[in-house]
Amino acid sequence: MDREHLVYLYCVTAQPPDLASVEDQPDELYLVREAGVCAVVSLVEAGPFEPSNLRRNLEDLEWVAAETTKHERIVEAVMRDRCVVPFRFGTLFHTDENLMMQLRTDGEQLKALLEHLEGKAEWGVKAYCDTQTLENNLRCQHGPVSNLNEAIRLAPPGRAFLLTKKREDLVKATLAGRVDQYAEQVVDALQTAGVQMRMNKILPPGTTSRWDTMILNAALLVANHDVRTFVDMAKTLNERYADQSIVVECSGPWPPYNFCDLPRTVAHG
Amino acid sequence: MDSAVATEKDVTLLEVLDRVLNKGVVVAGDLVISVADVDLIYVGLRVLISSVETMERLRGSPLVDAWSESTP
Repeated sequence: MDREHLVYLYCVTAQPPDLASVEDQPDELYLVREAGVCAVVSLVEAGPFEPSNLRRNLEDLEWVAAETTKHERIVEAVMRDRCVVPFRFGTLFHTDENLMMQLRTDGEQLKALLEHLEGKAEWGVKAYCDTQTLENNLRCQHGPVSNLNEAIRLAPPGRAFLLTKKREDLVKATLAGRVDQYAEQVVDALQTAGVQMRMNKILPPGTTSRWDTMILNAALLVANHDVRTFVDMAKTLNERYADQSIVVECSGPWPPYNFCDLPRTVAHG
Repeated sequence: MDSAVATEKDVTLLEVLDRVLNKGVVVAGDLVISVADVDLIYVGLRVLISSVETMERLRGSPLVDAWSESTP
């Protein structure tokens, strides 16, 4: 090992995976076996990860896209063969020995995690709502709003102003309540098909390729034999909510990134 | 809307970024890329997404293939 290279850790498995199945791999993958787990690693050039360069590289979206894609491709290829515990981007060691030391520290927890994750995969669940259509429907169909519309029509200007403000507040609150209720129903339904669910941050408009509003961003750990049930359930939800301008999108199977917290590392978050 | 259920052939880069950069096991490796550094990416994410839009789905994994074949 030299100073120009670092050991990049992608994932660990319980049994050695077939690394030959990972195609288009610029850096040669190899295994570091210690403490009852197999770490899938490769030597990478240290330069891009040196603190002085890293900050600049992280602002270079092409670099980030290429590196994260490579990371993901490798973990997914290993996942076809074995249950994996994926590591976060840029988990780097100076030497194999340093990595082995880390594995000796975390080995028991990693093994327990691998056992828990065996035969399961992560699925992404995002729900979107066309809030504009939902709001338009509320404005003309929701009883209390219609009553206010009528009152505003008949009221003198000063009173109409206050009533209009009241109506806008009501529309806003009702809309928010509906959206929460739909998201909750989607969660309740899909949860029954999974083992664990994790809620993630709602992404702001413009960060997804969709124009409607994200109302749910979750990850679900699903046993492989329940995938069919899960997918059918998502389909049923889409049919049920088509009238409410709600769309449920699922993606997967993913490596279980969202279900890999080692108790000791939670604090680092 | 028929693409709304699973196994879509494109996955937005965002899904990959969110997982690889922000999730997964964190250990105190020899070099630690801090979350604060990673958050910088979101500053330019909108630009990235609009230029890349979607990325060819990385996984043609057997799980998905098996599932799509068994789906009418």
